Amino acid sequence: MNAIGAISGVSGISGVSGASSVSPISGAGTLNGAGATDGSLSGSQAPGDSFLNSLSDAFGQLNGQLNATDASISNFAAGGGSADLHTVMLQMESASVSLKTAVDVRDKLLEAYSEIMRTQL
Amino acid sequence: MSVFDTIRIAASGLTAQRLRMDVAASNLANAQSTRTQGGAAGVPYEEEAVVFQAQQMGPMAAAQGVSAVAIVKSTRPDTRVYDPGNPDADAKGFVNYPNVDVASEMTDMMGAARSYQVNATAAQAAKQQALDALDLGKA
Repeated sequence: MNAIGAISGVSGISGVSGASSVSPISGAGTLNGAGATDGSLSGSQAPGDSFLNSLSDAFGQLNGQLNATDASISNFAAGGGSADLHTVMLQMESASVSLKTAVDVRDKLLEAYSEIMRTQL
Repeated sequence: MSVFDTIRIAASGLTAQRLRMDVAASNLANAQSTRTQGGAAGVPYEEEAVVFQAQQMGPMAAAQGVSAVAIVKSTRPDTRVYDPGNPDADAKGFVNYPNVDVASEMTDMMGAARSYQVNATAAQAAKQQALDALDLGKA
């Protein structure tokens, strides 16, 4: 997840603040109350409603969701919890969809960045 | 209404059908239990059934999952069988067997298995929908 910290250097992109439509990820952590942003990446940003802020919030939530999924998988494998197989599976699938979304957002971001960098001066 | 709400609703359905399956298995397993754990001799197991309730899960009231609110015991009378040699026989030689209707429990179990499949398919469809939406960004 630290890759996003590198991306945050391109603050010129923050002009796209209208792109608050990345919010699908923000609802993602709710399958098992996994909304806790364990690895909060939003600390380095000044408070504001820029695109990058919401992006790193979304990545923080994704990280929390992945951590929660990880925890419930090990819990299930250890035979400890009372979680059903389908709960763990669906949590994994939700996390997978969230991760794919994040990867797509990253791809788009890098694509836009390299497009800008290719500008002829 | 995110796609994850759909998955959560389907997950609640899966959990509900698992419970229904558990209860049906319990009923079938105890179809001949003439005692209950910690209960008096001669008081047999009683058939159980799950009561489900619709429950709002997403931000919209229309999207409701399901939760089990109670497990009720059947009030059907016990099956009385004349078997004086049984240690749980009463003074007249009758044994009270559980009021479990094995045939209806089997159909209930099949229903639970099918409903489980239905909910799994719904979760699958929701996931596929999310992946299709992601494909919009490709190429």
